[in-house]
Amino acid sequence: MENNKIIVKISDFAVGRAPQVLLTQGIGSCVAVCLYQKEQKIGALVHIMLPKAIKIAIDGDQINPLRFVSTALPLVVRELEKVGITRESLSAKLVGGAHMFKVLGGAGNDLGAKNISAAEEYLVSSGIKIDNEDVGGNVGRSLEFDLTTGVVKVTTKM
Amino acid sequence: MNELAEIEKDILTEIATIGSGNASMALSKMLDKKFEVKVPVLQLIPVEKISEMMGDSEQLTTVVLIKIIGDVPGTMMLLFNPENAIKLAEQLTKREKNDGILDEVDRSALKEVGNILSGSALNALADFLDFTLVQSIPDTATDMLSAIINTTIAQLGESADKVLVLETVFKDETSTVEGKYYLLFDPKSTFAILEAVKKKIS
Repeated sequence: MENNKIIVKISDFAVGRAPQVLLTQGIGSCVAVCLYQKEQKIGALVHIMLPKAIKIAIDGDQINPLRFVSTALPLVVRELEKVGITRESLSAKLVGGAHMFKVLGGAGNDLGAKNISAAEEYLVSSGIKIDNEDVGGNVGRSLEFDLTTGVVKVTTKM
Repeated sequence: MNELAEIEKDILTEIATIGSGNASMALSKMLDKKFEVKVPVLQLIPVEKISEMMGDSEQLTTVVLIKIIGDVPGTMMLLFNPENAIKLAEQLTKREKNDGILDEVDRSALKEVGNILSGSALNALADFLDFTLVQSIPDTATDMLSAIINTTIAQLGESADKVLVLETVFKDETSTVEGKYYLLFDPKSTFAILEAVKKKIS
């Protein structure tokens, strides 16, 4: 792997700048959010599993805040603000939110769709413009986010 | 929930052995050949690490998925690499496949395997622990491993950091069909299983 590529795993994120490329693999019902500041060519990628923490862990364990849209996105935006980027100057691309299995809930209980709408809701309320989306359907996706151009390349295997 | 005591691990491994033993017997009958079942591997791991434990994130995988409903809700999965899924489907449907694609007939055959395996495993567990367990209708998908697995286990991650994963590898004598059988339980279900076993022992 070229060393300007940074792999982002599930429930994790990375902030980078050109010429780095951020990538994440095998997005199913999860949502991957690419945030980009085009003048400075700085961006962030986060791969999130669930829309919202419903309750505290039943066994009292700490749950990774990067697992949930409601806690992960504010955290990533704060990290970008730490390097001097205003949220208004960001644009976002959303990838994922597929519906892979019928037995995992039908209409109204589609985790992929919930992840996408949770991410959209946060971005809109934070004044971050959504540039583009490659979401829904029933196929898994991988993505490469090139911080030189801001282009997000999505690939599938099916 | 960070660690399981040795005795608890033994109990849960025994539970998995009962489940997978029954499941493989059912599969042997179905295909009229012997299946070898490895000793189950038991892990309590963060939801995010489960797919990684199973393989490369982009590796194409065929999964049969069944949700367990009842006293101890959980998830059952059968994992095959797609070539193995096709070999199994060929043997089940007595057809030869040349296109390498699972059609509707193959998929329903694989779902039926899921039904039978999970039915026999769950019956054994329900009997042993005196639980009521019901299984959902099966579903199947072929796609990148992590896309499939993370979708399947996401729900467990809503209320727990770590999940109990019981993994059993099974293969036939000639190793033409090999697959992995998984049972996943959140901490609440894990506690309920342990409590039931302790009650039974004492």
